[in-house]
Amino acid sequence: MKNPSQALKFSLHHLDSFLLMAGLTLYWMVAGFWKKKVPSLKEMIKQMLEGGVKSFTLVSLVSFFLGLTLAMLTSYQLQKLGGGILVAGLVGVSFTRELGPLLTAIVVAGRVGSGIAAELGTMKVSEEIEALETMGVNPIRYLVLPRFLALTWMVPCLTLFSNLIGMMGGYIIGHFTLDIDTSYYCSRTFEALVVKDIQVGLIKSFSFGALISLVGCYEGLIVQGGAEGVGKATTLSVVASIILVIIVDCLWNAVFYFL
Amino acid sequence: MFYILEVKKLEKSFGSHKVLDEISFSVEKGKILVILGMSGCGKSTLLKHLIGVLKPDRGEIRLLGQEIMRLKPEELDQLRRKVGILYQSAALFNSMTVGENVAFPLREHAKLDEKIIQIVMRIKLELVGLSGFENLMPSQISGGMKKRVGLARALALDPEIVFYDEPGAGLDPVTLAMIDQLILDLSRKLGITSVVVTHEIQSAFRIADQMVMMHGGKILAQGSPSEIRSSDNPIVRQFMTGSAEGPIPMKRESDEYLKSLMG
Repeated sequence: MKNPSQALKFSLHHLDSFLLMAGLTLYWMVAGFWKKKVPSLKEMIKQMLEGGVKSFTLVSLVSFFLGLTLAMLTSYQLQKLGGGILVAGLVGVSFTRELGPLLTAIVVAGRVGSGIAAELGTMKVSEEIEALETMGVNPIRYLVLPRFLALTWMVPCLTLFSNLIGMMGGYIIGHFTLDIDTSYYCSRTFEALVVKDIQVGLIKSFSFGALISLVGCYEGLIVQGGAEGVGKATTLSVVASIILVIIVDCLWNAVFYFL
Repeated sequence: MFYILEVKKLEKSFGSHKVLDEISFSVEKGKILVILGMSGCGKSTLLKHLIGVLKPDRGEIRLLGQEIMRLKPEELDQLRRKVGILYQSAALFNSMTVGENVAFPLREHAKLDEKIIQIVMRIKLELVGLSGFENLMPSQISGGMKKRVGLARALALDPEIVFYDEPGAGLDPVTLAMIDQLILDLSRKLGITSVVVTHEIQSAFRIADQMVMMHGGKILAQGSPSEIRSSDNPIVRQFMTGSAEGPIPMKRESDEYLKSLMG
């Protein structure tokens, strides 16, 4: 990349083909039904296991410790004001609206997005994608669509668990260091949370799941030049996913701030 | 005369480098065409054009009577079901077993009962001498076996024409002879047309009905094996005898070499 105009042209080209791939994925999602070419149940379950269920431990672990940390840091300040109980609502709202979706997306981008990029990249390098195409099987329908569908559904599911476990972390601090009664902590959490908070978080995580799967697939499908290319694509997919997730998160926040 | 594959004045450039220049040839039904040439002479690029992966700058390709550049994507997909391709690396799907690989085209394109799919899959594996291996993963079998599985998969939908990209690459002479025999059988017994891209002279003369010799993106000579063998073109002769000395430039001229060393 010698000069800015070249760099701009380069990124616009990638944006263009990325959007084309995303469009084709949506096309196949709809067209698959009347062409009777929907992803097989076996493939969907495999992708959901790989992308969703197997990420559960990692998401839970990270959420739990972040819940603990958040409660510790805030209670430390809130106690000075004599409002330790506010921790319940604070952890609840910040997890459902922001931290749950974001944390899940970042963990999934690192664990699943990179895996997708590496898998598809290796397939590209070993001529498997070309073999698919020359057998008259559309790689977007066969490879991208099941991964896209699986992640768009599994990321919101994981987010729900992340919310729950994060709040549990908050509760542990609230109960054991601030001596807040369990039922009181719960009722304060429910008082603070409104349905909209959970909706906002879920809408966000839907878009994050879509984004991570599409970025992973795109980076994998454009791999060139052997093992080195696969390595680069894997790294790039994580970097690009995380940056995009944070930008999209900010955009959603802007949208919901004004709503 | 009806040709299964007809190529007319094909041209392709990557940047300023012309990789295919005025390529024309045709193949009759049931015949075996061998495309010969050194590494990097454009034969793999030519093959990618024939199967519609790359688009030429100029010229036309008629495959099974259809002009492939004018086909819509769905029509091209339809056409590709009648075409089998054996890749150089076999390109098996590494996440599937051998049997699932062979059954893959059947599952995708033919609405068949699972039992019938299993039977067809075993028939195709038997054809390449690999029955009983269907539950192994591609990583558990040797390179030669992978290639034979690749061939079984290419034959799964009973294609009318099969393209072979360097079938001999990385194979021992016995396995190669077996694949050659298979190509011959397919052509003589089932009337399947074959287009073989290779640089293995011995194997080429064993199977070819017709030969095309490429060099530097151009067709140097074409005709029957005996015509090629008796060619007096010095480059063809050097290629046939496989000698290091001759008109094919492998080393740079000495003054040029000196220049490149001095920077």
